[in-house]
Amino acid sequence: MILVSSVDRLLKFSRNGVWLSLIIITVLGVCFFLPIVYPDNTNINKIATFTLKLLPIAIVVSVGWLSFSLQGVSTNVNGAEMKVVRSDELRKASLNTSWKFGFLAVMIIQLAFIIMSLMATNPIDGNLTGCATIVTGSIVFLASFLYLDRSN
Amino acid sequence: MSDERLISTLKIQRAIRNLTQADLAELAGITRKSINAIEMGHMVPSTILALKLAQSLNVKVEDLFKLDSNTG
Repeated sequence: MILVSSVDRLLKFSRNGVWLSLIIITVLGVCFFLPIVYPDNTNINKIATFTLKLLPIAIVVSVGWLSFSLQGVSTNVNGAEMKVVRSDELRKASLNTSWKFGFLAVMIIQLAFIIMSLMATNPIDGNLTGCATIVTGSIVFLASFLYLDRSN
Repeated sequence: MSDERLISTLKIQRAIRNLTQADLAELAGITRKSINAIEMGHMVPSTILALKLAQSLNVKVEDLFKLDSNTG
């Protein structure tokens, strides 16, 4: 028998996991880009380095909290409740649309880099382009999924 | 240009039977979030989901969903 409270808890767990991923990727992105944008500001560099050092601890604590929030509900992929969550139509539709938004964001940022490389006198760093693409695509995908898959 | 929209009587049918969204979700084996999205008009259910809901409420799919066609 499927327990709705268990399904709700699994859905909340799933959404909190996505929120956590979004926050981690955003923090990583900010800590990577701020020292590039402000290379002479030592305070920003220090804060970014300190935040990156703290991040693994924050991830471990957050994952622990996430697991605790399940309160004994099984995350077995073959379980009845998990099957309901995985086959949820709203979730599937939101995922499909979010992939499209993420892909579009990746394409737009390439266009922005092309325009910037035409205008800039120095060549744009390949690492910067790659990281900006990954961070932007991931943030747009996760944020749009959270928005589209919301309850109300 | 035709603008077709799905009208759902899910909320009414549920209220007639005195069922909460959670009760119907349990009966149909879907999530409460999906029922809410259908009722709010945010989601168009698949044929399988529409049949599941109709079966759970013991009504025809046509009683649950209908097409509102506006030409303009």
